[in-house]
Amino acid sequence: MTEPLLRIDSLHVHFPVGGKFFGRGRRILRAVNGVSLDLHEGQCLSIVGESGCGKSTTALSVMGLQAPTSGDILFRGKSLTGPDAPARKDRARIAQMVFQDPYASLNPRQTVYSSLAGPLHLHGNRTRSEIDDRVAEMMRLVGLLPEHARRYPHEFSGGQRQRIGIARALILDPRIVVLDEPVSALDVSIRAQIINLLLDLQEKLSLSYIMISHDLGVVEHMSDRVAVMYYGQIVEIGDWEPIFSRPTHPYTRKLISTIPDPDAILRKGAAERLPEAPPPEGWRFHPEDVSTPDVYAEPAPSELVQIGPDHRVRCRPAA
Amino acid sequence: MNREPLLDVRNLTVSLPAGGGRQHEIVRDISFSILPGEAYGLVGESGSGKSVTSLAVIGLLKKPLRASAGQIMFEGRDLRTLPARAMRRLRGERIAMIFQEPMTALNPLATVGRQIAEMFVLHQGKTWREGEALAVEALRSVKVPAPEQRVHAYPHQMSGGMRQRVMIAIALACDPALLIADEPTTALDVTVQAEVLKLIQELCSARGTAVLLISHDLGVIANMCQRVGVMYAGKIVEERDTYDLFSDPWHDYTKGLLGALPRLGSRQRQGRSRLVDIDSIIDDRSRLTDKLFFAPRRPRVAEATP
Amino acid sequence: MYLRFNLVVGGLLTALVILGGVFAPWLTSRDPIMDADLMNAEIPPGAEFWFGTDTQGRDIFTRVLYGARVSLTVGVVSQGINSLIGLMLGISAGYWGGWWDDFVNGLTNVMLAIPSLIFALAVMAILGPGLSSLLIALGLTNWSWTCRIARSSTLSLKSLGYVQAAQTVGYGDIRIMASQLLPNMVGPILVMATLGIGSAVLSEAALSFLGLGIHPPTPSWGNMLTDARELIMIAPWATIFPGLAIFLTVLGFNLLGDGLRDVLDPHMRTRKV
Repeated sequence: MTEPLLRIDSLHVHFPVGGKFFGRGRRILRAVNGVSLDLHEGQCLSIVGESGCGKSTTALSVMGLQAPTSGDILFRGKSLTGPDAPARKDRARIAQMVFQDPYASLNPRQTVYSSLAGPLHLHGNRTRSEIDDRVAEMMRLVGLLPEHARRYPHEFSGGQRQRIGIARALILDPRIVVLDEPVSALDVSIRAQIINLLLDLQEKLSLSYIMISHDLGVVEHMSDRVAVMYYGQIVEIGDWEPIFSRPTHPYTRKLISTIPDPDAILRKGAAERLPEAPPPEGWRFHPEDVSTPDVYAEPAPSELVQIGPDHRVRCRPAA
Repeated sequence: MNREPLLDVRNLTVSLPAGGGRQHEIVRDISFSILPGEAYGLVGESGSGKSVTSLAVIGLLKKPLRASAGQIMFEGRDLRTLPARAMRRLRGERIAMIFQEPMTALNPLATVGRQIAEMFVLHQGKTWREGEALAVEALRSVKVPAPEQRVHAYPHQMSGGMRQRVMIAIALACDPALLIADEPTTALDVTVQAEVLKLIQELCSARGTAVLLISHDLGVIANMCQRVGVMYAGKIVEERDTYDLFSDPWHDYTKGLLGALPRLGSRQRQGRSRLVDIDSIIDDRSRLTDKLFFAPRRPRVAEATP
Repeated sequence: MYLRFNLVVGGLLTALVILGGVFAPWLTSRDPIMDADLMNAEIPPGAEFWFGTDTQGRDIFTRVLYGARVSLTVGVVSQGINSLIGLMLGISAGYWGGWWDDFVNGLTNVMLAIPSLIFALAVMAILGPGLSSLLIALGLTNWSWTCRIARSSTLSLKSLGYVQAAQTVGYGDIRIMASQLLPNMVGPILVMATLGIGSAVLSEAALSFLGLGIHPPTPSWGNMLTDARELIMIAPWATIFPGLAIFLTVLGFNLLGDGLRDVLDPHMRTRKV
């Protein structure tokens, strides 16, 4: 197994909340509680979970927009946090992000051209014509006409804006692209176009994706590996195939079984139950009760137990 | 034996003045009907006119939108031409609606108990004390735990899913004949979505309430509705029984919508296939509404036998 | 349209005042200070003296025009200083948060609690009379509202995707504040600035009226009002015209600000692709 492109090692992000003025009585919100993930080159790793599970915070930490409370993030073995961390500018060439809301992700007062050219100006001594060429190249790459770059964001539709967001993320030629709910704000017919575009670009430019999503259909379609997060912890992680065909953790099973699925109606009558998946010998699932978590509590000790070649589930000892 | 439709929309047009004396039609000459106790789904993307249709039915279109033509027959009366006062009495009592954003649809300054009790006081002439007792029962029916305490809670003290249940309780308080649900679960988490949808389904089939469900999510529609109308650019382009629509779509747009979705389990079964780009199978979007498909209403098996 | 009305009327009024001040020497052949002939004292408005004359026989029309120079300078420069201070403090407080934000908030609260005129008086007392002291005094007094608005705009803009995107692309903090945040709050800031110019003109008038601003014989609308105080019954034109000038200037700037804010919004300018 080659070294992962990006490794997240025991990431903790804690926020103090509430409490009195001088910090007495403040509680700690454990948004991310000991998350470890590997992203291999050319792969798409998805982080799935519902709102509040910490997936967005994890993504922001990878991007350098959220300082970790503890833990490390390593790119090709070199740490991105701590005293030797690269400057913001250098970090920009490592990982870029496509944002969820196409209506808020572009500066309304800048033309598309300036939003795209800005990063180029900042990062290199390119001539004006080199910049023009690169901007035009990116516009074409995402399926837009280069002539339209002189327009303002509000003149484009949601789907087009998301394409511009993708162009901006790719213009500095990053190795990793973090996709934050890239299609959830878009109409059904536009989603397909953007998903196809993202997959095409991944292949064409050898990109590695970290995708944050709550939409399991999109996740199943696009991912190579999946991590399921629940209140700050990964509860199940592995290759996409076992996660979707043999979901094991109670939370994963809950997520998958409750997706309103148009095909379910066609298969009515056929046995629609997920295959049984008991915990491995000597272990119990952690957490077992997935209905009412306490986000302020220190989590009980647990670990990810291997149950398949690339399939691990969070358990605690059965004793 | 044919049952009379509960809601019969005929040739409804909703328009917006577009400057220069012209009218821009958001909904163009649509017709559909819902039988008592039936769940009917209206599916479409943003801009298709589905939400506007539901607002027209319940009479909540905001100026300058107006229902400019057609009839909305409900229990023998044309709602389109009904005077405002009569419409207000109907709303809540015979037709109720729940919305997408429970936070903005509930009054943040009143307890949930009071908001539910209001329905009984206004429509059924109960006293506030009676209303509050009935509110507790209403909360219990929508499976809110500890209803006696929750009745005194404010909306901001509850989670999104809980608030949506409160909305359902308010809507169903007076046992309306028709419930309109406009994207009721879009703003909720996935697991909560399933619970709320199940709740709506159980309550409505138990009480015989008809449901008009508006959604962009085909999965949600498939789970709940017996018949579906697909809307595009203000017209219903295809209307079929749910099973038939999903197994054998007729209209190009429906085919495109179904093909554009990544389906759970399909990659396991047949590998990763390229998602359908609707614009690649539809030559000209402006011609989409030239051909419309409607399946004839099949008589119910139960009705055929006396 | 209502908006156009603001722009046109506001634009005309401010243009009138500005041009009047700038071209004063061409619009009137008299000197505002030296041309004082007691034989001409207190003459009502007429063919020879359009706005009449004051107690010392000076032409009020001339003095109003030259007074425009003072008022406009004070208004624009002091408001410029105000906006600069307010924006720098407000945007940085909203962006960085933490103890700096607490500090700026505290300072803003203190400034808002002190009556601005008293504060300006105190500064003038330290710096002594004169135009530059007036500019500094007024410049230091009125930045609080701009600061508040800049801060709250920053807080709401900070969470939008394009600000985070700028960070991921590698822009430094100062650059982000200047290029991503500042242009997106131009609207409300501009309106505040024009209101501020109006308010500065009024403050100057008040201070000069109290004898602490521009000292006579240099004409300023404020000290013209002081001079004319006793003349209200005898020669009302000596108060009416400076007063009218103040009124029209403040009105003009307010309307202009309103109109400009809408024009500067790219949403209003272009249509969908």
